[in-house]
Amino acid sequence: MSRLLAWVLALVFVWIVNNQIHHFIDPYILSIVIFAGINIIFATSLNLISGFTGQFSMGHAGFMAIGAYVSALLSTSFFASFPQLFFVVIFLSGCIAAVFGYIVALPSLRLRGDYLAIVTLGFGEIIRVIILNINSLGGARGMTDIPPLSSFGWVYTGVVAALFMLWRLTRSSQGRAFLAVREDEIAASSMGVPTTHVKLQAFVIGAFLAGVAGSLFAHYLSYLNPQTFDLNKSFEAIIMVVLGGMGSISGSVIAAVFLTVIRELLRPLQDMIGIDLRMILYSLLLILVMILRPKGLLGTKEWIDFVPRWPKKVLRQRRPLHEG
Amino acid sequence: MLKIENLSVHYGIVEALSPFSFSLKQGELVTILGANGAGKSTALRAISKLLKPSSGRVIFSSGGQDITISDMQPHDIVALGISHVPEGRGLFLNLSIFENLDLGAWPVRDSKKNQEDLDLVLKIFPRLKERLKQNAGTLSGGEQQMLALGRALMARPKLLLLDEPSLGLSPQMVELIFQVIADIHKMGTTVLFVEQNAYQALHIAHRGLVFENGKLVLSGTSQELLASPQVQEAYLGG
Repeated sequence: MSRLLAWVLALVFVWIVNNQIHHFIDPYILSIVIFAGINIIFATSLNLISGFTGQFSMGHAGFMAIGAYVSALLSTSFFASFPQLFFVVIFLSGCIAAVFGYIVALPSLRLRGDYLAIVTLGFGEIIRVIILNINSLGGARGMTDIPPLSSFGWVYTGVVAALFMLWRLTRSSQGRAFLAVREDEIAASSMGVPTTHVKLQAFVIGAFLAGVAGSLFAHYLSYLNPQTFDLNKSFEAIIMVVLGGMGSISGSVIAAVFLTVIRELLRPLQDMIGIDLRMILYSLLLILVMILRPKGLLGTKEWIDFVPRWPKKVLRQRRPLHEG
Repeated sequence: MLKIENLSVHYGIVEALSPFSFSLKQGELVTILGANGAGKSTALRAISKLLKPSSGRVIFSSGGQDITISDMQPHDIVALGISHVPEGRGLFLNLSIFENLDLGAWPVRDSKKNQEDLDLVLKIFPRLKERLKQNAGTLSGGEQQMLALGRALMARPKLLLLDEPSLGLSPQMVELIFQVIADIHKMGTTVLFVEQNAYQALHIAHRGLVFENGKLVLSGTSQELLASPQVQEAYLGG
């Protein structure tokens, strides 16, 4: 109960900050903060699939693209005169992305490891190329005039909701089923865990959240281009998950914020020297982290595992079996 | 309780198990014996559908109902009350002991029963209790086998399939594990287990089945098998 209260308080905090933020942060910093939020949702959603369930997906940007374009379509047509219903648009676009998650996962989950990676990679590219060829979506010119509805409040409401959902999910016995599939599929199956079903679940929930991220993204930039959702975008999410630690939500959050910020921090350097050292430094940094912490920044741990003993007692009461 | 009719398994075109039949009565403790590659584990896996049999049927009778489990998915079979402890134990080594046990309780969707079962398992294996939060990978071989057994018990099985529970354990630990298997059986669970350690297996089992080169060649009560010259020569050192 007290933990639920904490999440509600987090939401209230988000909206208070939302109303005040323009007074004390300049728009450039605010845009970084917002992109960090979108990346948090995007990275944690992939972590559920790759980190917790162990299914290597390389087409996650495809789900984001679907979320982005569907929501852009919705808010420029049906919902054009109801900007206050933005959350419905976000939810619907997440659902459509989830449907695609189901469609992709159903045939491809018969494959494992590298093979699944190739199939999902193909999917991501197919989505991009299809959008590129639909004229009503702007094609290669991109889609413009999307109402800029994503505010700090909406993005971080999304972040809080996504984290709450994933937190509850991965701490339940349902969540342990994800881990079981990752660890040993045959053993999981001999425990009575319906492995295909569990993998489907991970894909559908992951795709839903990626769709939400895409929707927030579309309504922040007001402009969509299929090129945004190429392989690099999928890899960005993979990097965040691996860097933060496969199977650590807090790790993905830290990595998403870190990578979003570091790219901007390195920007002035480029102006100074005049050559684009940004991506080189960025890559060097990644290599360094992976050498020093091969399991990612947090490994499979969560932030709570680093909290000293005494507040832990308050924060984490003994969980009953099969909670939630 | 369990009836196997002409079950056979092929790996590709190679016949791993020739059609065999046997049945198991409620409350029995039966062992499957055989040398390496005789098809013991394959037989067990075919029963619990971890492997797809190429022919034959497996019928599980429970509560007056006959269910053909050879058409079912492995996770549904577990839900019926057949738990399989695979060879090499199949533990989730990166998860804690508690998480392993909780996953074993997957088919029993009732937290009160889960807690009872957990208490029971920890009573049988006090060593696990001290290490509940430790990763399963940090346990010794014997403790891992205990955890594998405990995890299977969490599903409240009516029939327990054990694949070489004594594999790689010290003689003392083997004795302990066999004692626990006998205890589990006394609590009312039907047990079918694969063993290499023929002497000790026949010591606690009621009946035995002997596999050789993928064929069921011999079956009888433990006394019969212990007295059989064939078994003596092959497994008991004359």
